Amino acid sequence: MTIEREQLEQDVTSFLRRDPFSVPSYEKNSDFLGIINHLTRHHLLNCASYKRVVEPIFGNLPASALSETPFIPVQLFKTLNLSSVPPGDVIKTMTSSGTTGQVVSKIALDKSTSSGQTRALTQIMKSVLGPTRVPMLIIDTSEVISDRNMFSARGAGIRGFSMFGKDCEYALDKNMNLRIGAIQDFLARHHDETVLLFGFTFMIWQHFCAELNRMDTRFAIPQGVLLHGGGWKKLASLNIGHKEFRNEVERLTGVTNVINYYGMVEQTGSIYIECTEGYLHSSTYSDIVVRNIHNFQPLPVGEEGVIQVISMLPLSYPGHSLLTEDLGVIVGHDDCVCGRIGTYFLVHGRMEDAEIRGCSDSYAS
Amino acid sequence: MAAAIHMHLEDSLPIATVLGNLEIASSQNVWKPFDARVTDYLSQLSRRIFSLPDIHELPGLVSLAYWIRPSAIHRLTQRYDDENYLIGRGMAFHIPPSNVPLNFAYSLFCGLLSGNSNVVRLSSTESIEAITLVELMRIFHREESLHEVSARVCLIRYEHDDSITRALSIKSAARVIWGGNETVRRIRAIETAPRSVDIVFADRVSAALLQSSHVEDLSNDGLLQLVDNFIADGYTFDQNACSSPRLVIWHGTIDSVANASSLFWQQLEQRLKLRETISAAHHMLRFIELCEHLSQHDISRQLVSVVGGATRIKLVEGDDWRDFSKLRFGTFTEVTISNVEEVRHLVSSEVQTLGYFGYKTDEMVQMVKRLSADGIDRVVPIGQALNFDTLWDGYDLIRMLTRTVVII
Repeated sequence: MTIEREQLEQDVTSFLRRDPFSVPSYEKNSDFLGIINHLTRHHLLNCASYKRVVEPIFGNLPASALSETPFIPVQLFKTLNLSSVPPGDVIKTMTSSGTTGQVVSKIALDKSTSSGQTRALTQIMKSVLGPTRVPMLIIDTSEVISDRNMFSARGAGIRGFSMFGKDCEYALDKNMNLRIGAIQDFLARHHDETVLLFGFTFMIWQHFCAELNRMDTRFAIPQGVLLHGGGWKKLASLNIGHKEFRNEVERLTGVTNVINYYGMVEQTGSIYIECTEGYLHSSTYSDIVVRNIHNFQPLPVGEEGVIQVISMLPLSYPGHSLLTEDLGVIVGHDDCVCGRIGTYFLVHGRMEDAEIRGCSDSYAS
Repeated sequence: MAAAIHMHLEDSLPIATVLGNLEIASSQNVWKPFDARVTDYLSQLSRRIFSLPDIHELPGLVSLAYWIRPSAIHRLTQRYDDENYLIGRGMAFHIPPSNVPLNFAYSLFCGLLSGNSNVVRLSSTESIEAITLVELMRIFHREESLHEVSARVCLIRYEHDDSITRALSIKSAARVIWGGNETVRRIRAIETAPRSVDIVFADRVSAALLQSSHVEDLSNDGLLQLVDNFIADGYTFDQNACSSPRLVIWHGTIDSVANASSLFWQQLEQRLKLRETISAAHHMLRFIELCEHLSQHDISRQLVSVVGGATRIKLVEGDDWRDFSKLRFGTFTEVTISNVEEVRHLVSSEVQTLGYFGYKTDEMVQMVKRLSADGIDRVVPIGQALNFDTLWDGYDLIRMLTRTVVII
């Protein structure tokens, strides 16, 4: 390992000791930018494809502000193999969730990137759940973990978040039916404790809430915390907003502490957590820039554009600065009423799919 | 015999007939070009299109209706009013592309105007304009007065299947094969009747040539008009059409080009923002395609600049603009030349259309004559790159689709 890479790892590690939601911009920004610039240089040196993409567009000078950091589209991980470490150093390759036949992202993780992800997620989850592990009810099927074919963002997400739970129980069977008995036993064992309910937004809506309604069953889990993520695309198409989702969950389970998170397999670990005010917060280990969709110029607070996510965690692949397909708006920095420090924002949803016309070949059509 | 084969064809092969009848279409006599029955059919169709209630939302159909209106057809007729005796070839089999939704109609109407009967394999990509046109033609199929022409139109669909293509090819007197290159190669490999002709459209790219001093001299309105014309050429069909410019050639001194191009792109950014014709996802697709493309090339110097709605790739001497000619959704490669003769080094056989601004027609005629280049089949003012003509891609489609009879 080069001295430079070693220095980079040390910087990231020491940054990860800082509290996730209490470092103000004036303290964070220059150090964070230093690490991000270092990451850009590291990937330019170690990932030839990244270099070929970035240099013609952005040049190779260090960014003097976070908004100048070169970015690549998150979709690039679907079509290119982007790795900044020798193949022998890759301990696992994560893939995004996708239905059969869909192209998925492939993310190569080495040991230090993987442990950085775990450390960042631990810090963020501690701020939500407290320092000790809590009983965890996973609103999904255990198949998603045991079936290797299903090993994807969903499985990886459940694995990752399971670290913060104990006595983990799955709420759904392999046919996605409610395991009512198992859920009732779980709730009886932990009736006086904080419990974590975790799942993917659409799964919770489709297989948990809808089933409870169908069976006309209610739970009473006032001490529960529901953490959910994975995108609103499907719910948005059903016209279900955050408010409707929260209300429905509370009505059916009594859970009032419903927390959405925003994250993606390409930047596992440095997730964005929703606060009591309904805003998503970047942690000390990440930040976002919102860009004008026409010319990709950075936008000021309050203006909607496409979201660029910046994370200090990706060492083994060039994913530290990515342009997402999500539209959103930065609401402010460091001054959210909820008390968390950092950039806070709203995600308005995925941009509408373009009708991608293929190349001009009549044979393919 | 022919009827038996076609019964067999439709019954045993998975062909879906969208309009017309394969058997009837393949047993029609040849007509002389511009037969009054055909021109009447087209002028009625033109009127029907213009009277559609939502016509302002269907710009492609408007262009088509203009192209087949009586005065336009009349002008076209005069082009072929020579002493030779032209007659249709028989059944024309059209394989249109999927990138330009109404392309099939231009191909079909050329076939009709030349005096042929026509079978068209529609692409699986549906568009509202294509559907609307087919429905109008369906009404015509029910009208007794038009049935002679309707019998010469058969629209079909089938999954890519060489055995169907072969069965249709063997009955064809002409095949009109719209590209890309892969399609042309595969269809050409399929046997056809000995006397049948193939008209093939390979992958092409196009360019725009601007004299910078003339751009600098434009009034605000003039610049606006130029930019709107350029947008029509460069942004319709997501820059997918062969005639859409991918290369922008600036002709002038370095200072003049810098000034003119800055005026031009600024105006373009404002116009695109105002029109909101391009969705967020298209801007993203442009960026994704660019990144994927760059990952395959070793350039290692900054040459891309993103302006609103467009990506500019500025080349210097030694770069080959063809390396970037596949990029779409508003991606333009730019080069500067100090002498118009330098166009020679930029065009090759792939270049189809050269759009121009800031020159007189005669200057272009002189330039093309001096160039005698492999490429460039069309030289048109910027704004007309996509205007279809029977003279296309270096062919005269009417002459290609007819036989010339000599009588001495």
